[in-house]
Amino acid sequence: MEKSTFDIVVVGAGHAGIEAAWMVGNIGLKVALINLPGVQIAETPCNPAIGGVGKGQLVREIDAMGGLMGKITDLSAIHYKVLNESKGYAVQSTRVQVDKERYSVFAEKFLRENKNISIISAKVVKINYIAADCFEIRLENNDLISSKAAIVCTGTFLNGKLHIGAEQIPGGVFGCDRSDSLISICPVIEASKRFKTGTPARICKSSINWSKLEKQNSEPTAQNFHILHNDFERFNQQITCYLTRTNQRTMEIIRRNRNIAPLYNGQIKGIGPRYCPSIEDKAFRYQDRNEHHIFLEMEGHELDSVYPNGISTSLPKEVQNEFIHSIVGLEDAQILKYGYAVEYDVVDPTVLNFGLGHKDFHGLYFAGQINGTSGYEEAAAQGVISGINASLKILNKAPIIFSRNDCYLGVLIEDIITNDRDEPYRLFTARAENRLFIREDNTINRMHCYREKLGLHQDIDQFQNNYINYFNLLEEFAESYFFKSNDLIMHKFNNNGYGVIDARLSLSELLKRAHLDPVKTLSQEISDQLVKIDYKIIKSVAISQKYRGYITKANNEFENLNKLDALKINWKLIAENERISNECRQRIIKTKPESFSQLRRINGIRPATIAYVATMYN
Amino acid sequence: MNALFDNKIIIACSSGNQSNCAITVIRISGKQILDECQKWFSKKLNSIQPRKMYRSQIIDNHQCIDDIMLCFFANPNSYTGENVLELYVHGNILNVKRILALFCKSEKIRFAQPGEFTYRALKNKKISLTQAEGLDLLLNANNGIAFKQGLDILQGNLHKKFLSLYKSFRNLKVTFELQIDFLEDVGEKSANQQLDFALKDFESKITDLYIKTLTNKSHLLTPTVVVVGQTNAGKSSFFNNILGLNRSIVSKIKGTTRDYVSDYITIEENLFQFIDTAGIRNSYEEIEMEGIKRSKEIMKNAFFCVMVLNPFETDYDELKSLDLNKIDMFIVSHADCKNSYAECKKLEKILNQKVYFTNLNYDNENCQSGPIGPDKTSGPIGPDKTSGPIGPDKISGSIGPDKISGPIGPDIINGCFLKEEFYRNVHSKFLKFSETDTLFIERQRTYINKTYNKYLKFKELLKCNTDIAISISELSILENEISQLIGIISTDDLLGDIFKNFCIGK
Repeated sequence: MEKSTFDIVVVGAGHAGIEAAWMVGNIGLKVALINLPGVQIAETPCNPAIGGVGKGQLVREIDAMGGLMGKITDLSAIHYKVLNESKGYAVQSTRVQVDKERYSVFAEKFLRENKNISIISAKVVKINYIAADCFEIRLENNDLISSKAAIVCTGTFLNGKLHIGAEQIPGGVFGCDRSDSLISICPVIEASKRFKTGTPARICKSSINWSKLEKQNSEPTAQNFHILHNDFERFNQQITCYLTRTNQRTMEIIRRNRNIAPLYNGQIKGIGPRYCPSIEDKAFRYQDRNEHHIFLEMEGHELDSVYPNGISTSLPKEVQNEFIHSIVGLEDAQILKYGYAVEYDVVDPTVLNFGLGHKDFHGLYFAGQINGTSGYEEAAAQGVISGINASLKILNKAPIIFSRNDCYLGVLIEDIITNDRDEPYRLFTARAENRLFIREDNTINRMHCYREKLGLHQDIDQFQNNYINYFNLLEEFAESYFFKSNDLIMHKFNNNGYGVIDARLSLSELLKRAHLDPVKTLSQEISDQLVKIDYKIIKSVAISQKYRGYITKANNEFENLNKLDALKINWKLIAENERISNECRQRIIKTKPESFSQLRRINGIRPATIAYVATMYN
Repeated sequence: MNALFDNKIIIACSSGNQSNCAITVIRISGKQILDECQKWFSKKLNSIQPRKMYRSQIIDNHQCIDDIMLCFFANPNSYTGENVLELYVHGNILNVKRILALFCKSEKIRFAQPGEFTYRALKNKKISLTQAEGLDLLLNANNGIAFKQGLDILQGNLHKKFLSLYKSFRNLKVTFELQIDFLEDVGEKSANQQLDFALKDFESKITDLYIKTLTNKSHLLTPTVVVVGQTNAGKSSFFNNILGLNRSIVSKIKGTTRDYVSDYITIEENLFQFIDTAGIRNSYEEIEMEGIKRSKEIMKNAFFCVMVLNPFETDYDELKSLDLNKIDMFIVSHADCKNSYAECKKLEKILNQKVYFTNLNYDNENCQSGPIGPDKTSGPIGPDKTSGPIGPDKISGSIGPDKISGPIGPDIINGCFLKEEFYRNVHSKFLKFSETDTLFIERQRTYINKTYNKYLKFKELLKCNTDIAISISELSILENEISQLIGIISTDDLLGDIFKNFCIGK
């Protein structure tokens, strides 16, 4: 039995765990990252894609905070796509498919390079909360680790159980061990419920008839995530994805087997996300629809497996075989690994604060899927938040609280800790009130103030400072540069398709013209000036100019509400107030809202209570 | 403001104590009212059951001051959601005041503010905000239609309309969200179809409500009937004739009515405020100018305008400067006078509308005694028909020979028929208005108007804008308006709708 001491212990080396450990290590504290033996570091057990609508923004925010995800995604990327390209800049997002093996390799490489991080391959059997900020972690081999904080990132492993038809196997990911129930590991806290998620079968590359299928090429115009990478550099050979569809026969096979579908015969009790339905859900919930998209995505260059995106299932193996073979292009598909569902324990995240620390057991943090979220990006984001705040606490520094007004990290954290949800939480842009402002292009502008608070002087800090300087310079230029209304300029406007100019016009005003693409226009103007400025900065300035008026208008409209939202409230005082209904008081006592914004987002809180609290604080 | 947030027991007379009546209801609401009030009752209050009538004496200093019935409503099953005690006391004003004063001796009891019982009901979620407004309308309604709408709101008919607006808007939001987060799942074509459909649906719902707000609400709550006209036209004579008393000061001197005089008239159970205004003329006297200004203001907001004209003293330039479209009824006085015919015809031509010719002033009594058949208004009747006494402006010796011999004179309608005709006109206009299903509550009218106008702007924006984020940002500004009407739609509600109705997720 060995004893060792760290500042912080991170349990679980998935997307949340590695980000947490990485942030702690970068801030300069000693951290042990404990990984379950046999489980890959930063495994992508489902769809090997990072980013997406809203999530692309989140990955860039993580990157701006110094997280790992953006960097390792770029390095292992094999397919890029810009989503919502025709819908305007504010809602455009990047999605990248990664080589899942390389993703893990790069993650481990970066972690090992940081001397503050020790990766320990072991199963944690006990997290003893001895006192506030004092923990003792016992491993299966009886080794003991003492620490000031523990960040629990067990993902789907907590009491995990896999389902394939009637087969039920304990485990967190196929072929892996699981961890025991939370209360047996960490006696001070109990899991609140079980969630469910699932994944499709994996198919052998060489058994697919590709010639019949629609191609989707990687898009060269998609920008890399990591700010220090060149925008359009590709680190791997890009692959092509293919599109096929389910048909009537496929869906009939599934419908016919309802009684042996674990999701529909009562075998699975955990709640799955509605936004990520299994093929069984699609078959039974949308009875009149038989055609559903399936994207065939390579899992890596060296791997022979293909991920058929859209047919996640927990049906018995023979049914999986049958329905997959009914799909165009997959007639002779050879299945490498069958689809399965996994049920796992989650905690009630309303016991956590804005740093993801437990409100009563100081030093105990939870991050990732254990908090009832889904998605690698959501997990990574929580890793960053908990890693930063656990470190800051040990260093006796003020916590960093992300605001939902300027970043998805803020939206995510407030949403997670305010409500105990009955389905896994996923980030959608719809959850952000300020979508015109929370964009991919201005991530550094939005996140710089948070990153600065860490007081680090690394390459990305240098880059961000330069970026901000140049951004301000270019913005000032756009506002102070005027076109005169003379023949030469008119001619130029005409040639460039800028439209008419009948009076003095600023470059800034030109960028706002509805028929022009602001980024192309500003790029053109900058190149006419014969200067070279980083594309990221040109893009961000151009888009910011375009949206400025609309953002100001929206801010003015919601000024009163925003002011109220920013109010810090004393929940104890409110909970004691007898004029508030008992039910609302109970909800307030449970969630302990710190701000008016949080209070009004508590599920089931009555409008009368919100109005009443508003008058209390006015 | 303080009153709204203290926790005291409140007391008020609920049945109106403006005059003596047999029984008056006093309501007491709050926590622990039984303990607090016990000392004034002979009945042991801790033994009474809710919703049962008991008899008790009210005791002040060992002296019985009233013998009453009482009924207790335990929280939350009461109007306010608190404990409520209702006392049925003898309705003599002095007695009621004495009892109220007695209870207010306690530090824990105070008089309720106007509307405070309803406020507490609202606070305790016994009624919704729309219902509370409806109640307010019910209590203040002074005519049949407003009363009916008050009930409609309580029963939720109007609420249903808002609910349908809410659903339509929620669907509109859903279709916009589909365009961003779920475009890949739903497909661009289907998403665009959904959006078009949702826009059309919302537009029809908000337009429907908007049309209901177009009628001027004040017309129906306190409809005003206004007598206007130039100075010395005989407005006050007409006013007095309708009211049947010498309410306005009548004299030959121009500008006698310097400010307006008002009273109430009831036509078919509906109450109207009837206003006699100062005559409109170019005056330089300060008080009179102010009066004229107010007359024009009243005319602008009037439900029904009667204009009285004197054919001999009409300032035609000024007449043309008035908004004659606002006038519902024209009455030409002095039509029985000598030489009035040409002037009357001239007026008729200028006004180009139905004009009632009459002989002001006339004798009211005379009029009541001799109603003459309808032929009176239909046939051309000469000035000799004059039945009333000669008014101050009237030339005595009424029958002028030139009138009889000349061309047929104006159709003269006399006092009591004019009154009938006037009542008929007011009532028919009122009926027409009431049929338009007007929305009465100002708050709702305002928000509907604003929502409608913002929607039009939003629609305009959609025409030229392809940036969905800008559209949604503008939509949320529209939502800020509409939420005042229908409440807030949470993101989770929207996402729930999306997951329920669309196959999301690959």
